[in-house]
Amino acid sequence: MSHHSPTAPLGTRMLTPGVYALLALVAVGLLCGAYRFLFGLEASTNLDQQYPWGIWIVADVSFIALAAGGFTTAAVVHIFHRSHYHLLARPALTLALLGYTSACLVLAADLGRYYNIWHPVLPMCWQGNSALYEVGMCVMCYLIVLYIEFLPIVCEHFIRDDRRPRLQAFFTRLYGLVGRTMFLFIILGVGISCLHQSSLGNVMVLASYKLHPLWQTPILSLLFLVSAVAAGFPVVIFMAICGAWSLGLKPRMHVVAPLARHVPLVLSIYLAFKVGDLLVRRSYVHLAEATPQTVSFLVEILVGLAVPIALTLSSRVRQSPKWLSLATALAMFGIVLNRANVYWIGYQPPYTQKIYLPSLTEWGITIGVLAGLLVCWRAALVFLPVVSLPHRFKTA
Amino acid sequence: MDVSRRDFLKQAGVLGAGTVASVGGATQALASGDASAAADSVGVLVDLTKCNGCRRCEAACAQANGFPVPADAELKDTAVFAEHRRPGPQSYTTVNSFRSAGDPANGGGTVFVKTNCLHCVDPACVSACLVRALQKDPRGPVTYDPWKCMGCRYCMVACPFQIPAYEYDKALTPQVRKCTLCMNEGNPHRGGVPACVQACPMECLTYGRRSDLLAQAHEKIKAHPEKYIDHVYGEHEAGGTSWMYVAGAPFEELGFLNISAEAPPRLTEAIQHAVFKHFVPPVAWCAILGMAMWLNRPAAGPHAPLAEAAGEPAPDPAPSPAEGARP
Repeated sequence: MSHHSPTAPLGTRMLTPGVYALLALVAVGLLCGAYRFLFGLEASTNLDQQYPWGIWIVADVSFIALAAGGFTTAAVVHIFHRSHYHLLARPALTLALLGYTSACLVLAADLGRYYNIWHPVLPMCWQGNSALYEVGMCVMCYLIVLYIEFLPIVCEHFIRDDRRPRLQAFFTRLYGLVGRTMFLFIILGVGISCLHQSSLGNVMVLASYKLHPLWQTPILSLLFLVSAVAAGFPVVIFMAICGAWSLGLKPRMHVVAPLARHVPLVLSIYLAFKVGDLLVRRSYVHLAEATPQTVSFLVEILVGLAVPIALTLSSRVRQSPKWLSLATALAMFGIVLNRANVYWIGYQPPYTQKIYLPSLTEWGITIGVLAGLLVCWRAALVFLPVVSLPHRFKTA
Repeated sequence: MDVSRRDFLKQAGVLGAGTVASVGGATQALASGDASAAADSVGVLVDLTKCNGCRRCEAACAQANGFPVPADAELKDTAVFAEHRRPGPQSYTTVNSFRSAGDPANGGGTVFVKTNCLHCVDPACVSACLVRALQKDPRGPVTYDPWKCMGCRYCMVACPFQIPAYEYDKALTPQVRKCTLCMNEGNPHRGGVPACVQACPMECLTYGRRSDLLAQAHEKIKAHPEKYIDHVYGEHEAGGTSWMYVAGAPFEELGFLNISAEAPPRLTEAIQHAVFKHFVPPVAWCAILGMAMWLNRPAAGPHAPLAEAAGEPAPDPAPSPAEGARP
């Protein structure tokens, strides 16, 4: 039936100098992780009684925000059936799956009693008043949904392997079963994503006056949802361009450029919400203060939102892989900086002795997990049928 | 410890509350924001005009909770007042010294302030805790169950008074630490008058029903308007607290935070429960997505939406490996 080109493993060389560099970072991250689990949080982090949350929480919420590319692409391709973007669906799904898995790994390092991470499922622990409970349950469910959505890719891999007929038969059956029910998981995935992306904003509303008034707003959950949706397209575009480069392929601008037309629109909607919130709460008065918070807020709005909007409004930028990757990278930076502002830079406990800055171990684990994500993503594209590759785009 | 007249009075004063306390053998979960239990719950009223900074409450607290107990000589050393100490994982309460502008005869001058968990009526930490490790005991205290805790430290982020402290130094079983109003397991004062209240030689601390304490506080202020400022700290702060203060100097001068009267959970829980009301909004949202999916289904064959959702159709012969790009 398909008018889409079939997906296939790229079969590109896996181990390049860049991948070796990433693997070195993964090794450093593993060492830092071992140090954290052996000696505890005091030895490995700069967290203290004033700042209970640090760079790891920022990494968690950033991974989750950027993984929004998965559910926005799923909505575009599978719910609104814009089949033009079909070939982006699997790479975006893979990236989202790795993003959520990374968030869980970093979270495990952050939790003092990581072995209790599953407690929200216990009925005696159910706590519907907590936004973080909702986030925990949704992330668990969405992680399962993501792995189910990934199953067809795994199935196809084994179906193509004629050397193992019994595995082939099993995965053919599984493929049919998953295929018939997939629409449910697509809907669930998009639904759950919207819920917990917004709850992540409500988490910090409870911090009341401790969060700087430039960010503290009753509609923080709405802003988090809108910004996650706004982050989705830039992430997918950046992924498509830089992913193609790293694999020695030509970025497929005929797919990416039309998608980029929506970027200024979604980013502008988010900017409108931000500015409207600033005006309604009259919190713009804080912009006159010369504090790190004000600077960080302005960078978030100007560099992370206004500049990418202005850039992507130009069709020349949207047609140029280099310029478009820069514009979408800035948009991603803006979303990550927003999460960092809400969870770290804007958090001002009343009794502060010293300002929190992450320790080397905290950076090591964060960067190690990010490097691991990139290696795994490349491995998925190289060895599994994730990318659909028309003949004319075979090589750069 | 011999039962002095003061202790006896304290005991008598809380007889009613004590009965309430003994009735509830097992800790019952109180729905967050349920103010009905607040009337009967217990608390402590602190009269800051009486505190002489002897820090015996600190010693008694350490004793009751199994922390290193400061020796008598240590307690007499006033050098500790050079800095403002916060409660920590090894000390649930601290006494700090503040200079107030007022007349020393009327509660001004040097004022000592005891700091600990205020046991909010509608606690943000309890609303925050995603596994119900922190709970508001209907009897008044906010208690902690380390078995449930996953160590996310959201309670510390949520607390408007910055009270819960974390045992960062423990690699395997760190706990959130804060005053439990001597209601934690293994505490010799469990279910009775808290250790600090019993130890205070200045009658600065009064343990009793919160409603009684509030009435008492307002009577004090009314009887001695020259001695007390007209503000019971904790009556309204953060939705009200079980631990309350009267003072002779403005609370801002004594290191108290100016906290709004609305309990932080009221806003977040209203949002959370609106989004999840009877699970109708999430289900409706998924139904809308399903509708959109169906309306946008491609015109092709009947199985198109399903097959497409799963990726490429299974029966299609897979491309041979040779088709994959090899540089």
